[in-house]
Amino acid sequence: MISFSHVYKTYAGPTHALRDVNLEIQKGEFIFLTGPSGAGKTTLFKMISAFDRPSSGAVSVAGYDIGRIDSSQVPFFRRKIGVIFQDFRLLKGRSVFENVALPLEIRGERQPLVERRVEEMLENVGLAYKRTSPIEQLSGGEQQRVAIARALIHQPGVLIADEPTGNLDPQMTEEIMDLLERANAQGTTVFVATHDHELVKRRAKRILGIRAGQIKDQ
Amino acid sequence: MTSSIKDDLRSFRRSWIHHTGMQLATFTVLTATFVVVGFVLSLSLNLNRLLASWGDTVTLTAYLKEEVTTDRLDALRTEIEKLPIVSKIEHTPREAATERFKSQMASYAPGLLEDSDFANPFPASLRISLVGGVRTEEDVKTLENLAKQIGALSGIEDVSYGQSWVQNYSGFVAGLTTSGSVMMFIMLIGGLFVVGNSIRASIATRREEIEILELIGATAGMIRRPYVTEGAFMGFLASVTALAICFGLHLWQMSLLSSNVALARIVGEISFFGAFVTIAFTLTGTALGALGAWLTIRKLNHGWSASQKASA
Repeated sequence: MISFSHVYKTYAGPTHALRDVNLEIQKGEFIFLTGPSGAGKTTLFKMISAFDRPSSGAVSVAGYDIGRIDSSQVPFFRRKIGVIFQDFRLLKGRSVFENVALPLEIRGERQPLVERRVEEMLENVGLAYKRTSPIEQLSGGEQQRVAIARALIHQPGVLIADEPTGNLDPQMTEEIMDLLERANAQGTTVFVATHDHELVKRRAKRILGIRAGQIKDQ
Repeated sequence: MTSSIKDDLRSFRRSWIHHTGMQLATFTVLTATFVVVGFVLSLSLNLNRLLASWGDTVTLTAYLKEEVTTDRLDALRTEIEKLPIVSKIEHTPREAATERFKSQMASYAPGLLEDSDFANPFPASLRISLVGGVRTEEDVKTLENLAKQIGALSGIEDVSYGQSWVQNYSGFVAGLTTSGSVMMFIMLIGGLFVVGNSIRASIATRREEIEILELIGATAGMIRRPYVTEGAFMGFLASVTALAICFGLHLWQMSLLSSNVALARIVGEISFFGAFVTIAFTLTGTALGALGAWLTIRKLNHGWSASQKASA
């Protein structure tokens, strides 16, 4: 599902953000990526979501060659993945329903299907009762659940989460991780970057460590 | 959400709510630009209409030689009638020319009417009216050719059509049209930049929203559309408001002209934009707003496109 082969990423400076990264993630896996700040986690995730491309080497995600993908194809590639951020990245001034419905509307799905899928997804994340609430009125944990619902609404093959629990309390962290595990149980490949070593230990999943741009299976 | 005009309107409303000052400034400057364009356009159309109506009165006078007989006069009339753009020929005998002169000079020299010793200096003439009048430089050339052809006919002493006036007039019409067009073009280009700046500010404050839309798979077209629609709405509102202001100026101008006895007779020749110009003006304003926005947003390239450039 995700494959990195001898991937290097060098920025002007030069700064070597990734160095000879080799990685194979199979369909349906749940992986934690850990490492200190500046180790290359964000660069790796930007590459997986086609916000960046390798300086050399090959990156393949959901069947797309990220190094060679045409810019006109990038939006269609992104519709096959789901992304969650620490800062939620939700559209302010819009309701919970509108935020979750966005990926389906972008795909041009019909309104009855959009409504049915969003209702189901809001039930799954426990936010059906807040469907009309503006995003600004939600707590951090609720906003992250909306972000997860938005990332999963179009049933992506890969879900990448960059520090999804970084701003949440321990109880909410567990709830969010439960949601991600449920998505994984339904066949979605889940790739989570986190600083939280305790969380990683508790969940007992495959762990990748990144340090100075190099990845090691732990 | 990104797929209907209703949502684009909502986005436009949000822009007004969040950037009221900027939107108001853009609307004001764009409306002022359109008012100037509308005023110049109105002035140009009305002056052209006025000048065209004056051009319609241009006639050509062929002065006859003294020895021209009645038969030759009839022959001349037939020959001239066959020439292009001649619509009507009116013969003025010497005596009639004298009488007309005397009556015209009566107020300056009252004794002239009774002066039996007044020697008749006037030749008989043919007054030739033209089809379509004189409106363009091309019409002036046709008139010059016609004058040459008539002047070459046997029995014609001289031909006059107010040469210098006609040439100045056609030059003035051409100059007015050109300078008006250049001025409107410059103003419209300025309008493009005004809309562009407004959209640029809107993009800057909604950068996160654009990134989110990119993240979940919106195409460049989907992301650009609300901004282009926003520019079009702005252009539409500004052009409609400018038309209303121009109409107010037109009414004020008409009342001024009507109150001036010397100018009152041209009031009938002046009118506001017709339906076609009104619709064309509004559509142009709307299109200009959309174009200004599109030119600003067409290079929108966060994420992938930007990384390609950075790495290149």
